[in-house]
Amino acid sequence: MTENKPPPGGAWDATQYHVVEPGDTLSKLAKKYYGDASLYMQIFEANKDQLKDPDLIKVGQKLRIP
Amino acid sequence: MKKTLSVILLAVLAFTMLSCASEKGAATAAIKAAETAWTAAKDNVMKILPADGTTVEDAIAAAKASLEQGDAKAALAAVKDIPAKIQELTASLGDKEIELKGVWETLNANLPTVVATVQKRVDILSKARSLPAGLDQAAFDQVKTDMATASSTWVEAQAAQQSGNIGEAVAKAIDVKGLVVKAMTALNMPVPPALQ
Repeated sequence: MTENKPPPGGAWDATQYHVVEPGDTLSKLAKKYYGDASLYMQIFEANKDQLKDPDLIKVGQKLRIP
Repeated sequence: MKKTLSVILLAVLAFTMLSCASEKGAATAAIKAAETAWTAAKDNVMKILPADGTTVEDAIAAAKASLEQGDAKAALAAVKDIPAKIQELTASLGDKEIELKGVWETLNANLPTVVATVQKRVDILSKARSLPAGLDQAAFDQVKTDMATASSTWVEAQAAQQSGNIGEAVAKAIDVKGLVVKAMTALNMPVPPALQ
């Protein structure tokens, strides 16, 4: 689910976020946002502070989509 | 009777000629007054209110063109209010400069980060084997062009600010803001509230 609430970084924060839903994988998110599932590592790298393994994401996690 | 008519016609002709000469003189004097006022104010006005300054310059140029074409009335109409307009602009420069400096500081502190975020997305999409739904190749090419323009315009804005042309700096920064919003919309990225 794409977040449209005011961003945590303030009124100028242009970061796009995605709240993980059941069935989501980084590959699916990469396909959705970039059109190419193979770019999933771009999302993993941007969220290393909360992800240890690209195959392990949890429902409700709020991921940055660079 | 014929003689009387001739005298009247001559009188009318003389009056008309005097009147025209008087209008031409008035227009010439008005243009000179406008140019003198503008010369004194130009540097400061163009640094802070360049669009208003251009309006003044256009009015003076239009008046000169009208006078050259023999239309003293139009020339006079074009410049008669210019000295007052220049005075008004000069009086507002202090407040306007403070306002523009505030706008610049906000844009300068925030816009580069937004540009970098959008550029990062463009860089990632440039590696994609296909584009996401809702973005075709033509739209993406336009985004790339717009972001390149935004980057070069931002450099120009900073140069303008550094040389004291705060009006031009803010105008260019606002152009950058517009290009970035356009790109974000095309890329289906959420536009931050401050840019809406």
